[in-house]
Amino acid sequence: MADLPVRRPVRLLPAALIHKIAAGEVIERPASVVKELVENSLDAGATRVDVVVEAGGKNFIQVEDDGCGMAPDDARLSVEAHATSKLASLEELDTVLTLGFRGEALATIAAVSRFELRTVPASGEGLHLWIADGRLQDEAPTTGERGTRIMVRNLFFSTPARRKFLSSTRGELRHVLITLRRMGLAHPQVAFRLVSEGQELFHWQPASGQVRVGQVFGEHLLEHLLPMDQEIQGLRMRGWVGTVNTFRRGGGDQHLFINGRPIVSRLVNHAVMAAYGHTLPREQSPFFVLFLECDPRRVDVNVHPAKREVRFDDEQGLHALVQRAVEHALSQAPVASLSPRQTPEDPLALAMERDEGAGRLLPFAPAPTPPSRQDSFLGPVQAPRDLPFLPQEKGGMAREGLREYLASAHAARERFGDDAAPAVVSLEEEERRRDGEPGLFQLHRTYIMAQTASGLIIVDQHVAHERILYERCLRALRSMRGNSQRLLFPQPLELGEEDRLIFEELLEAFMQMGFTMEMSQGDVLLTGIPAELRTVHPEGLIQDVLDQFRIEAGLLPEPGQALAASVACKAAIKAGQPLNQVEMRTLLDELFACEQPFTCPHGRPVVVTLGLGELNRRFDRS
Amino acid sequence: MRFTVPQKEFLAHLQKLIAVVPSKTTHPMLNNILFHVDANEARLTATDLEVSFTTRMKIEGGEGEDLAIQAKRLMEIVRELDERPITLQTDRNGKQVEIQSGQALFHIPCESAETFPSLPGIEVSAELEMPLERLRSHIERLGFAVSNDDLRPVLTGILFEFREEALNLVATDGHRLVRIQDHQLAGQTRLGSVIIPVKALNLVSRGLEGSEAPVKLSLAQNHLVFSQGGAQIYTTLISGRYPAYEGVIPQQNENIMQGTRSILHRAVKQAANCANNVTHQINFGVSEGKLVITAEDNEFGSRARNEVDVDYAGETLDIAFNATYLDQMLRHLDTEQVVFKFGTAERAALLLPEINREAEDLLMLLMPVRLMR
Repeated sequence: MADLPVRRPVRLLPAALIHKIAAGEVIERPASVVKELVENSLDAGATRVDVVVEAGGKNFIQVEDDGCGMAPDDARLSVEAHATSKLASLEELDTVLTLGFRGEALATIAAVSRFELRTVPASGEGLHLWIADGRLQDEAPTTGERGTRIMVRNLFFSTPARRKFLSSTRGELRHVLITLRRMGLAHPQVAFRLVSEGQELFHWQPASGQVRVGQVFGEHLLEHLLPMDQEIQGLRMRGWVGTVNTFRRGGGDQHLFINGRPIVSRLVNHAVMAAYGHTLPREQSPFFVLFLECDPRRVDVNVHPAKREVRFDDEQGLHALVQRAVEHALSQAPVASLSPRQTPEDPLALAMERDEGAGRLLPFAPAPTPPSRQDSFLGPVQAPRDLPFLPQEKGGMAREGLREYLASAHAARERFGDDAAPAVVSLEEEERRRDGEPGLFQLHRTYIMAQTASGLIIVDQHVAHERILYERCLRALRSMRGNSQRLLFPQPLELGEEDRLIFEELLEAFMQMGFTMEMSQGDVLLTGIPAELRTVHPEGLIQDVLDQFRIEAGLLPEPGQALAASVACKAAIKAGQPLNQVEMRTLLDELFACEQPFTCPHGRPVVVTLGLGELNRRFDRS
Repeated sequence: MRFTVPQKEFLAHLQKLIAVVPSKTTHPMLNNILFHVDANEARLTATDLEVSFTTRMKIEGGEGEDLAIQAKRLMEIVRELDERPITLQTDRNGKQVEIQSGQALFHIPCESAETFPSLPGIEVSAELEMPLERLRSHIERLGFAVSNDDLRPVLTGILFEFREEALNLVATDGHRLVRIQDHQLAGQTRLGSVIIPVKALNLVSRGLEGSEAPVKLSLAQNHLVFSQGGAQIYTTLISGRYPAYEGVIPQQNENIMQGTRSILHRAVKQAANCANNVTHQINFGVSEGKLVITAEDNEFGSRARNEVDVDYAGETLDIAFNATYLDQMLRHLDTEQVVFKFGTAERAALLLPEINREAEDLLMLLMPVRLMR
């Protein structure tokens, strides 16, 4: 007979274990510790908060404030579970206005680290506590300046499994930075300082809300922001929304607060984006910092242990209110700042742009006709100027280029066999029998319709071009051997704190591609670019890769792919672009020379086929 | 408006002006040429708002209002006509212009001159004359090194630095740099430092006539006028700070290689045929008395190797360059012998003529391609 499994008796878990389990929910990583501790500091009325981390907080975190401190008895209680000074009864849970309230933060942090607390209340009689593995090791009375200092060493030392899941030092530091950025935005009247590995990363002095935005994101951003402040139906919405210059791919910098608490809300994000309407290009998002203030009973903050998500009582109503308020703010903007940039090929637009900035001045008083917006055709016939990976056009002859493309398309078709490519005729053939041959048809300046041997294909012109450019860029990138064209004038890279950390994470990949740089005191100087790159402003490309990396939350395996995708998306012709026969034909020829002509780099379909069989069925023609 | 002009003369003017007309514009008026006629002379102007070009053309029987006519269409019509006098005349309501040559008659639309951008009155703050031929030769040797990237506007022009010791002219795209020091124009410091768009300079080089007559440069606050005979080229100056180029010109390059320009040039072009057609990278291996030029394209599977005799006594050195850049530089030197000055494989190399032209110094600089080890 087989052994029966030994049945273990059910029993209550020891308190320390409960804390360790619970810690996983609230304390995911060093940044969560920083968040809980800083929230406590703010609730204690601090006017300055100093944060020191080592190894991104994995080895050491210290948060020091000048808040009200705790009396010795309170201090002892604070490190026990569900001890909080902020809630006395269940009823009060409905009206929580302080940041931390669940009363588990200190206890759970203490359960998974070597913990040290030193606090001095106004009376001057303070307490110093040492805790390891959730147990009080030692305590001593202390005196000094009012305030609290908490040190957390070796986070998760007692739960190695969790420790293993932490990311690199830079990754963790980035999360700390993001956390403090949110806190800093919500509390501009408080001074914040962050020191990492003995180096001060920032020191934000107490300031107005707007100045704080400048401190956090760089002052250059302020000129691209529109302030908003509206109160509708008891909901106050204030903050700043960005103009076109702040648009970034993916969910760049979008900061939302409810009653001072940083939260994530797809609903509100969506409402903001909806307010931009068509001025917002696909897959891009604007910068915003938005503070919502309302009766605390209208939001439920106790949904998520880390209090990052909230629920609203009337979600549809909220969506409409936010959208209206943002629309209002945007309507205050000068029109030019909302419309997309003019193409550089347009000399008038260029002249106007330069005229605005410190560019060339116009020699003429331009005639007072407003420039009509017209995108230039960055099509396959003419190589786009800002596409860096194309071999330079010889003599700039568009026609030559076209022939080259066709030649390569034919070569590719021969290689892959004709099956992959529907019967699309080439330019030469088209020229020979222009009459009598069915042409291509452009539908709503968005889709190209073409006859094939077995029916009809419909191609989305934008994604088709995107796919072509993507593969071309990727090929160019993969063939890079890391040789680097040295720059005569090293170019400084202006990166925000967060971007710099991402940049450092990707440094090796960038170097492999042939970027070379010098770093000095946190500044990055670009000294060389991949020899393959035809551009004197590689900063934009680097920024795109960083954005892409942030969107994919670090999952992107190859910076090259991000680079290629972002280049392709930018340079591809858009829907609404009229195309002539030759342009459409070239586009199709090149598309079907691609390795994967049927999906775009983001996975959207490129081609829809409608077979003769299907048509026959629909017309009851058997 | 009405005038008569010989076909050849008319075409020559139109062909010069068309260089200014922007190829793509959202401001349709810029596709036109503005005509202003007096009895014996017509003034033709084209502009892209940054650069404008005015020429004076001898005519007969000129009279009437100013008019703007589509440049390209007009030029194409005139180009195909016989060499006999052409008469231009507006129709009664002024909406069309009639072009007549012998039995041939064309009508094309025209517009009143009112919406054509008007030239500003300028206050000249400094003036200078220089031989056109000398300026032209400078522009030809500098123009290729100018950047065509609009995102760094200052590099899309040529720097004119009027100094006590010389006029320094500099062009760079951040990868290579050309500097000409013209000692004949030393001491013209009133003009200060200006960055002139290369488009305007190319127009000066190709659009102005003759080689003997001097061209006058008149500087006003934000623009510069080149005038010669009846022609005038206005250009806006590029504002912004030109990069501190002097600091990047190496002073310590002591590995000096001298060779015959035509042989080196051919060897570079030959090797470039087997170089990767995106990077155009070719490698120089220099050792005593010998330069080995190699190139390869792993993707395509091509390789080149060539040896050239040179005068060289410096350190053995391997350094790589973009062949396209080298080709252009060697093409724009005109001495029999040229001198390369190398530092290390990572640092800028200098390329100089063995003997400079009278009263000038020419220097070319090229940043190498750093090789992955």
